[in-house]
Amino acid sequence: MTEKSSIISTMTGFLYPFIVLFGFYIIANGHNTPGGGFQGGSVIAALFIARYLVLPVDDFNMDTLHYVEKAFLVFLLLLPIVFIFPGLHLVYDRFNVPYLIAMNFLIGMKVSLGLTIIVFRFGFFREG
Amino acid sequence: MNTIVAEAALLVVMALMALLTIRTQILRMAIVYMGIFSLSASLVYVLYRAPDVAIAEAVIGSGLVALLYLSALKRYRVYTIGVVGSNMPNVSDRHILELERNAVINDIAGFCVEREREPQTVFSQESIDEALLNTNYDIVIEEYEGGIRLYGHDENYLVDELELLFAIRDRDAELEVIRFRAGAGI
Repeated sequence: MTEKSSIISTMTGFLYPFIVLFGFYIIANGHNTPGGGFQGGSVIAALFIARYLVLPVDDFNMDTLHYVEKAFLVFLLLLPIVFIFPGLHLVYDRFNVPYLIAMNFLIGMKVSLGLTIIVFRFGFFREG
Repeated sequence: MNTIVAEAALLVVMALMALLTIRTQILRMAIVYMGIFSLSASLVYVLYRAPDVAIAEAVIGSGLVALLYLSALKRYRVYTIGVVGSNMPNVSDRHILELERNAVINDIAGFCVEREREPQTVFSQESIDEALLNTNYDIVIEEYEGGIRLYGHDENYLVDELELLFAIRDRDAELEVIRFRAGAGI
């Protein structure tokens, strides 16, 4: 996987926007079509993994990724606490669909960052 | 009707890929077969009306897992060299020292280091048939009167390069390379 292949890099460059679009489509329509936060998030993680296949360069700051992932986890906990626990979903029920989309989006971001961190940690693992 | 045929075909492909995965000698091919297995599994999930599971299976099963296994394979480095011979009745330390100075073993070990493998030599008193049947050496060296035989698996791609290496150097006319197929014996 270290040697460069122009076929793989060209095709991956061509597929990049479609992978992003497909991932966000799955997340945004997760509440009434198949898919959801986890599936869309893993599709978006496949984008970073495709980048690792083309260009195995460790120029990410892993700690930043960790912090962003933890921030998404906090938001993921805060949103139901703010919206569901006080009973706002019964009073303002027109916000239920935006709430579901927001939850799916947060889950998708958290899953994609988590899977990317796993693969990058594994791929760039150095002994010693 | 068409659904049933497609489902049966996909299940047959899955069984075939699972068998190929565990039967192949080349680990890289095993990973590819496993990816095809996951892809057919995700199509079967679609036929079972579980598209959610199908998306997750397609991305994780054939994308992420294949990549994780490939990068694990890059770190799989131990290459086991078995040295057997019925004509070494008393294996003593002196004998082993003598063997370790053996040019052929050193050549193979150097070749392994060149290919980023870690050579590990195992000396054993069992006969060549027992060694090939019961153990899992990557390459087996047998000493006999006046010569050395190398046994390598037919699908082990390092064996081809080793044979080429010895053919180019032509340093030992008594050396012959024998390939065998899985389960066929010699």
